[in-house]
Amino acid sequence: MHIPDGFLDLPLAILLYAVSLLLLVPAFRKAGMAVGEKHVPLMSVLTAGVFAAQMLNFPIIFGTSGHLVGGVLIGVFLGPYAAMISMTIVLVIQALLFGDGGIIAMGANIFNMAVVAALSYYVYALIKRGVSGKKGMMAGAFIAAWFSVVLGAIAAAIELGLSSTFQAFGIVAILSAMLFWHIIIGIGEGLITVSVLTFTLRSRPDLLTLPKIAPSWRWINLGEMG
Amino acid sequence: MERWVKLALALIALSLAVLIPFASMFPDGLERAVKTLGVEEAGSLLNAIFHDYAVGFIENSYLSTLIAGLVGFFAVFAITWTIGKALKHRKTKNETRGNIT
Repeated sequence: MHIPDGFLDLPLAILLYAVSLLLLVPAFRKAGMAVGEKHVPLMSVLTAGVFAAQMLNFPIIFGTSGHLVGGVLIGVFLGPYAAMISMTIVLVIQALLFGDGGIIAMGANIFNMAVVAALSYYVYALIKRGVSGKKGMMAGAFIAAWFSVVLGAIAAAIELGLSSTFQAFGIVAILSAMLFWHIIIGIGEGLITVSVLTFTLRSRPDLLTLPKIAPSWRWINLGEMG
Repeated sequence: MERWVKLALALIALSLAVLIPFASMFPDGLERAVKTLGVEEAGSLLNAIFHDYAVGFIENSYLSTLIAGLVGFFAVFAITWTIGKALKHRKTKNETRGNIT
C-alpha cells in the first residue's frame, strides 16, 4: 500500500507530512514516559518482524498480491502509540534504503499505515471490552487488522483521487479499485495477526501483558486496558 | 540480550530465508489499482541503495533479496532498540527528577 513519488500533489504531500509529524509528537512524548525495560526488546523484535513480513507478499486473486501492514499487531502487544512509532520506523527505512514508498509521499504513507493503525487499535480495544477472554482478543485483532487495511486503502485512494495525476478518473474509480483489492488483502492481514497472537499466547503469553503505550484521554480510556 | 529475543530474531530471519522464494511477485493492491486506471509509475526520486529489495552487485536474485532483507531486518531492529533505549532513558530521568522535587 506504499504510495510512490510522483502520484501525490506537493501541497497535499506536505500537508500529510505535517499531520503525521504532529501526531507523532504526543506518541513520542507518551512513549518517553511509559517505555519500560521490557518494552524495548519486544518493540524491536516486532518492528523488525513487521519489516520482514512486509517483504513477503501473498497472492490473492487475479494476479494481485498483498502483504502484512502489521500496525494493529504491534498495537495489540504494545499499544497504539507504540504501533505508530514502530510503523513509522519501518516506513522510513523502506523509503530511504529500499525505495519502497516515496520520499515526498512518506508523510502520506505514515498517515495511511502508522496513524491509521493506531486508530484501528481502538476497534480492537472496543471489541475486547465487549467480548472477554481469548475469543475477544482474537476477534478484535482480526477485525481491527482488516479494518486498518481497508481504512488505509480508503485514505490512500482519497489522497490519490485528490491529486492531479488521478483527477481524470475521479475519486470513485480509484476508491472502488483500492477497496476491491484491500477488502481481500485485509483478510490476510487479519489471519497473520491472529496467527502471531495465537503463537505468542502459546509460547510467551507474558509478552502480551505489558502496559500499553497509549494516549491517556479520559473520554476514551480504552488504550490503557490490557 | 534475553534468550527469547535471540530466538525470535533467528526464527524470523530463518522464515525470511525459507519464504522469500514463495513471496508473490504480483503487483500489490495499490500497484494493481493504479495499473487498472492506466497510470504509469514515475521513476523514484531517490536511488535507494537496496532498490526493490535487491543488492545491485549480487547476480543471484534469491541471495540478493535475502541479503537486502536481512540488512533491513537487523537495521530496523537496531534502530528501534536505540530509539526505545533513548525513550526509556528519558523516562528514568523524568522519574528521578520527580522523586527529588
